[in-house]
Amino acid sequence: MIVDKDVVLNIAELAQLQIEDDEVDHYVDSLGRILQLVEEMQSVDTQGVEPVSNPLDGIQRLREDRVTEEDQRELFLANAPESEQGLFLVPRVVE
Amino acid sequence: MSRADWEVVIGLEIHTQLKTKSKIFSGSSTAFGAEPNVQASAVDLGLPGVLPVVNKEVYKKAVTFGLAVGADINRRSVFDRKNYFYPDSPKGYQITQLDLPIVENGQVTVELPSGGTKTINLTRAHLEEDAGKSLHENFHNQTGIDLNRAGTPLLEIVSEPEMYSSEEAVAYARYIHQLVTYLGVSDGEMSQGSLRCDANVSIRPVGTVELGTRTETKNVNSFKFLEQAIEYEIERQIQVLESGQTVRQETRLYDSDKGETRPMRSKETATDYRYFPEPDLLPVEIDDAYIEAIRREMPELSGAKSERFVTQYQLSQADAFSLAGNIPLADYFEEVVRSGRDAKLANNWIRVELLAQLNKDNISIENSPVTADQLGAIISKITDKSISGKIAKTVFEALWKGETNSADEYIEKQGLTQVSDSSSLAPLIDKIISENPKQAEQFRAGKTKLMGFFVGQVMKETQGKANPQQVNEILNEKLG
Amino acid sequence: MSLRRRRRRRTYLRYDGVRYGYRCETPVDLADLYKRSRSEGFGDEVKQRIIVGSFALSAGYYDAYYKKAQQIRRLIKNDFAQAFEQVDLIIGPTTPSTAFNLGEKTSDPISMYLQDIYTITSNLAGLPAGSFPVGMEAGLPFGLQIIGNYFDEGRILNLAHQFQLESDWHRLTPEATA
Repeated sequence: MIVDKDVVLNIAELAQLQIEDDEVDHYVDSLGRILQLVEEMQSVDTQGVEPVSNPLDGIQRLREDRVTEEDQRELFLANAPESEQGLFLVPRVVE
Repeated sequence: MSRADWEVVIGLEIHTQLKTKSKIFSGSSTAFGAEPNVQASAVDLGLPGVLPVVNKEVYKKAVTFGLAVGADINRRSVFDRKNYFYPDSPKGYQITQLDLPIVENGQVTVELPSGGTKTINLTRAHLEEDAGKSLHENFHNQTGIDLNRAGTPLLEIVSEPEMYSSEEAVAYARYIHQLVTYLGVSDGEMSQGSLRCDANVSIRPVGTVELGTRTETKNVNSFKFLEQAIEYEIERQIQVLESGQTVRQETRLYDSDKGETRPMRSKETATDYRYFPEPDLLPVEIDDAYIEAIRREMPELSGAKSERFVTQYQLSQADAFSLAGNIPLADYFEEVVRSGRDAKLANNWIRVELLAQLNKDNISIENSPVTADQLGAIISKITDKSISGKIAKTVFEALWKGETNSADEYIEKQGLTQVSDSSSLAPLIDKIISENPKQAEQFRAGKTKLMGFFVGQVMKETQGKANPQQVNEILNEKLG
Repeated sequence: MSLRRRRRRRTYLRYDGVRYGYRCETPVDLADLYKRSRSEGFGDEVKQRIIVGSFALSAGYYDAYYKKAQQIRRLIKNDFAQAFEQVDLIIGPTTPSTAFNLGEKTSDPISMYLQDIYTITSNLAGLPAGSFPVGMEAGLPFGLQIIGNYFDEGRILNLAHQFQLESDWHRLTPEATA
């Protein structure tokens, strides 16, 4: 895998990170080196091995359908960078 | 080229909100219409460190739906993350099911308004969480975010792309809406967003097999708009292709004010959702006993209902299928025929008179001005010959217009009861014969066609209340 | 001592400057809000990890990186399971070296990552592990790691407790901060 500027910029777009022109090389370099390090993974035979997404291999317990939450709006809104009339505000979304 | 040269291919993704008290992954209320953000808990807001816990009822509803459409129920299902940024998606990802949804491979058969039926295969139905709402008004050029809806359980029902007209697509969507409402899987309140359709539409030259490039028109929340959006999209794509351009694969929105679809985002943002199994949730496993317990609790489904209508009420296959396919209508029918009323007569009245009036006034069967009890009373009066079919229509109209609440009372008050009493009919018939000697003479000479004339005279005198059979008998006797 | 049961959970996506946390000054639009809030708010190491994580999940690379890694996780987990058939606890150093100077390795992401090398396996296998100080090297503490079987936290804590009843390393403070 060859990491270039476009790869990094595309990934940054997906992750909604702004990378300045003078930073791109830094991320190209670090991503490239990390991928080189993990390249060793390809030598491991994983044919037919079930991937782990949770190591406990358990089964999900389900909860009863009950309303257990109370209104804590004012508490949560106090953390918001900007809010009004009980709503979180963001720059206008055009649809 | 024209419309006839193109074949339309439609697939629908129907998002239906599940009827639960609490959200899919948190104990917040799902009640509609609350003040903004009062039903948005730490989990719904995606605060750091919180973990989702799956609501049991959500699984029950999904399995109920799956069984109703004859689908495979996956004994093991897995949640995945779909990553994208949008202000109404608080975590930066949506928890959904990708590779192992709860329901796969169902099938439904629906009746088409223009006649005939259509079978549609369901690819899958998976569980996921709803997003919040963006409010664009009155915030000095900002958008307000209400996360009350975030985390409301959704079942996304995905059809195969095998509907070939807006009529088929709408009939299918209506069927699903009615089914989820009947099963109690959803409240079906479309005005509150309980059922929203994404329509995937493409066209291809008639006779070709390869699918054309599709567009996805998102979040259509009424059947009327669904039809309009699909029709608009078909015409638009034909124009694009016939002018030598290509259809862009994109997400579009239906603007009901302008009656058109348009691209959802000014620039199509990256759509690499980077799905991966949700590490915060373990796989859900269910067993046969769980599924069977749900099956036992389920109400009768349309297939079984249709068969029962044939054997129990001797309806034709077509009539039975048609009634059973519309559950509220089937319930109405069964109420009308309760206590052994004539089922065929009831079926005719419901499917001819009642449905015509309902369609004309755009009223649903649940809100019919003539109740099943009231129509049942009319049916009884026709069967015991108290009134003729013609009078029955008068009574029906009076009930429809709200001029009366009771068929019996109206018949009584208006004196509409059929006169079948020969002691009162005989003198009247004598009088009519004596007033029309010429016609009586001709009749006796063999011109039996004149029977109609005499019956008409009697009906005129009795304002339609005479029992036609009785009149015939007496006339034959007197003129014989 | 610290008891870890850390999972590599990708939770950075939720920091978008909308409901809590850092928001950039006067965003011009939504994309600007997201990108600047996240870029200004996160440190370099976090941003690097976000980029690696997003890359591993992105179209075309999922199978080769993310899925492959999750499969290898299974193999690691199986290895531990085998080991715990024979032993109660696995003990070793917590890190390859004592702490390095602030800012010393920021230009070398690999050696930064390798600082985690001994501890990451228990994270991947989902095993409980604990670390406590067992000595000093040039005035800096170094730690001993104990990895236990699933739900065997009690044994880890017990061993650490016994050790600390007999030793004073956990009471010493590094010279640099003394």
